[in-house]
Amino acid sequence: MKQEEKEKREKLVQLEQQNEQMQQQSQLEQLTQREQQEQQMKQDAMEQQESIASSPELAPRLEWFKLRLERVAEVVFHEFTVDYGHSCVLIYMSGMFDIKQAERNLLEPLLGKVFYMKDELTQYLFSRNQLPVTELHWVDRAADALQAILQGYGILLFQGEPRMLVLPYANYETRSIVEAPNETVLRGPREAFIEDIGVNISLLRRRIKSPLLKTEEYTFGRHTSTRVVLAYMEGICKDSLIHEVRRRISYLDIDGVLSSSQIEETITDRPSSPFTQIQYTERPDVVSSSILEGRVAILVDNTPIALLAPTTIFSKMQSSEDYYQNFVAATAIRYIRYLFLFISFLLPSFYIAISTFHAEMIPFRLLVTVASAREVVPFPALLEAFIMEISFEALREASVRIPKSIGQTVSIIGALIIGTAAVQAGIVSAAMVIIVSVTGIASFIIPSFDLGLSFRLMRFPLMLLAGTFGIFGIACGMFLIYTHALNLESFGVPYLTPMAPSNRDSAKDVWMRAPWWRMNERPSFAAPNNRNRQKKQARGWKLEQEELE
Amino acid sequence: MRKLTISLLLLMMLTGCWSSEELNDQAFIGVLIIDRNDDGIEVTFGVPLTTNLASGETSGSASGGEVFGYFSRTAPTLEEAMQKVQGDLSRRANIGQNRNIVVGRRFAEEGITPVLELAARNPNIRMNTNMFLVDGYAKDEVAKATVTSERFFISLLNKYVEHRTALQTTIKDFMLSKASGGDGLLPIINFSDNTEGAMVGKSSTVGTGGAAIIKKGKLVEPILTPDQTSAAQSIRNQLGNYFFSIESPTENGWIGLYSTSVDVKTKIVKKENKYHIVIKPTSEVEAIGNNSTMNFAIYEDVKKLEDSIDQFSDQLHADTMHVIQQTGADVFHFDRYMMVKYPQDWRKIKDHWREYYRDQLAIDIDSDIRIRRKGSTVRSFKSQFIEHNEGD
Repeated sequence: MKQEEKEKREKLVQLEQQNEQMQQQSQLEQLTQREQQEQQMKQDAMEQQESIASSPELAPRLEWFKLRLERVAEVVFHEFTVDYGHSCVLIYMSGMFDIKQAERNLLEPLLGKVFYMKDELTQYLFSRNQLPVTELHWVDRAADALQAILQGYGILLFQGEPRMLVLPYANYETRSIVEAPNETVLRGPREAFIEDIGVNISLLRRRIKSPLLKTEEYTFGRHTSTRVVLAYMEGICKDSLIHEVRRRISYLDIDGVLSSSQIEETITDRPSSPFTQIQYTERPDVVSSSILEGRVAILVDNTPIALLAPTTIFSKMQSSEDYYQNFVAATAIRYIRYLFLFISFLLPSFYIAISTFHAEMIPFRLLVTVASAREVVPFPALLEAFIMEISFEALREASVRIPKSIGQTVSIIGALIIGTAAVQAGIVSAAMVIIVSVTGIASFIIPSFDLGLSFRLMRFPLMLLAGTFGIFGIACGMFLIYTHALNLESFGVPYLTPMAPSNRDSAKDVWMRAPWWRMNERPSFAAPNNRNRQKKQARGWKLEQEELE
Repeated sequence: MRKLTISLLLLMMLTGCWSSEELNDQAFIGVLIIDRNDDGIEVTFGVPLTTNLASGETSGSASGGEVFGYFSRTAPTLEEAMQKVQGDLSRRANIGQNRNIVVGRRFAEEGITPVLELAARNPNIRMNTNMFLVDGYAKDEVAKATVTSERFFISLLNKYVEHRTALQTTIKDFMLSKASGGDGLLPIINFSDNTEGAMVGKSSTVGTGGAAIIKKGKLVEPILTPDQTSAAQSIRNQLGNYFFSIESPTENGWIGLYSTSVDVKTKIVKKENKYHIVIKPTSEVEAIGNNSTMNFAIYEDVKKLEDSIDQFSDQLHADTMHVIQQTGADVFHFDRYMMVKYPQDWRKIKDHWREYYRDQLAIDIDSDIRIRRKGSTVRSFKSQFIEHNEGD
């Protein structure tokens, strides 16, 4: 045992040392180093071709690009000659490149001028930067140029010039910003993220117009080259948190990053826990407020969902609506939510427990009603509950998958089968139908879908425990779940903060939604150093008025 | 994960005699009726017949039958009789829900101690099970009674207690103290014929009656009248709504009064080497009728009326206490007051407490009853409206 502990400790120390080293080195450098190493290893065989590709001659380079982009239908090689006799090639992917802009701002000026010497052309383009194009830059490695083409940029090659111009006219169709489909609010903003990361970042920047909002960009996915952006407030967000997030995502090395969940599962503390330790949202206002609280947001290209870390179970119980509604109503609704959290979690198991173990607990008249309803049911209460709960889960799952046009039919059939027919046929009791439907509704009251889902799934083992040990079993199950939740951490923040460990100031936002003029401080777990959110006495005008009177 | 598995496996070892039982495999005893006849003790389980109660959606079920059934067997002892009834039932009898024990007169006369013994030992029987007495053979009376205003017979009993219509006596009340153990009052359930009672016109309906005095677990004479039972309820702080009428203090005639609740404080004091139990009922009453000439606007008259109400209350309580004290049954367990307040003296008399209680303990009643609401008319309806008009 002691040896094991020693080893563990040593490992921890090592890890910490590694941490420090990593923090000292720039993370960005490390990433590029790694990429370079890999490319070198892979492209040993291609080295020769590479040297051809970086030669100033146009023909072999063009050959190289054509070889690489063989059987790629949408690539366009536009060859033209600038007077006198400078041959050039514009390479781009049609459909991702705004050719009209290129025609107006590149081809028109170039073809309208006469360059007698080659130096004149290079000076015009590279030294004096006289093209009417912003964000114009050049690359001299053919591989980089190829990557730029695949990202939708245009590449301009010149005879006798190893540098290649990159035209920033990537233009592709994106979905327009629509109302948040899954996190609707009554009073708050309607906007939701879309798939394009540029638009998503602009949605954040529009809300936080501060140079302190940092957006660090990384690229992941060997084939997808997906852009991933870490967004945080410098000075509010803990440095250690940013380092930790950087460190964890730096381990990601995969052929394709297609959604934020890939990143989520890679960097989460305990992926096998039923509780997810990273929050996700599709709302830019939620991300902005989290960033302002000192959290880190991770945006992934092609995903309309942003990740937020760290998170606690209580922040998953908060809806953005809470902060837009009147705080009295929001507080009351929050209590209803907590109540239904337990209902969604415990009601079926509680019913099973008291009806099979503790019938003495039920008032006599209720007992007679329940017992007479159960009279015709041939199954034990546990089995009955399982049948109903599983068919409800099936119905829920089906309603997500079913095409909208036939969804109504299925829901009618489901309601008829589960609700009426099953009771009439005496397969299940009416009491069980009530319990299952209340539980079903309750599980959707939890604002965070994944938290609701984890409670819905943990219901089943609890039902088993209730069916075998009664309330004693429920108590044991609750105890296990509670200790597990106590053990969880999300990026160093205990999952049950601010209840365990308790923190009175941050608890302000747990049991009640404090009015905005009282939320003077940020939650301590995310931003311990810079906690002042607003000047005290936000309602100073009132005091002033009273003094005058 | 391994830890979780191990702890779940450990759970299995904790089970013991713990096993689940479906609701429809149990018969929930709603009332336990105990009688004595020449062959021994007859135990009757009153059980709701859930099969007949099942909502009528299932075709083919025998709906419309009896909703409450009585199963009874006779045996020399209570336990044997219970075992025999269980033998007749197809489901396991669950006594955990039972809140009512009804005993027949003969059983009470020979002693209710077997019931107390059973309750003291069996954890499934609630200590706050209500006890009732039927002046006759309880099983026959209860079984033939028609219940119209409630679903089950037992709901009636529960409602009587809940609404404080009947005196509430639980098993625990018999076990409150050692010196007066087994003493108590048993409320009587009446079964009346069709001319008078809870539901006129039905063959045999249920109602509340007086109360029987139990001394050392055995019924002793006399039986308290309904009025005396109300006084006893009041001493036990259980009296709810109470209607009564008082002779008018000014002239011949009656004044109807209604008391919403009576608050009683009891204490023990020592005066001139004698112990006095002081019972102080305080209450506020409302005037609901007046057929005398009394005018409620006159303060002196109201004061007089209040005095006579106090007198009435004192008299009723004193009479009741006198009747009970005569029997030597300390049904209110006054010994506990003595034990707490005068522990030294208590030790001397505790062995012959019942005799001391019967012969020497003085009981003082000090009612304080006020008229809270006199009604909208200060004089009687007759004198204010009818006779006034005649005068014109």
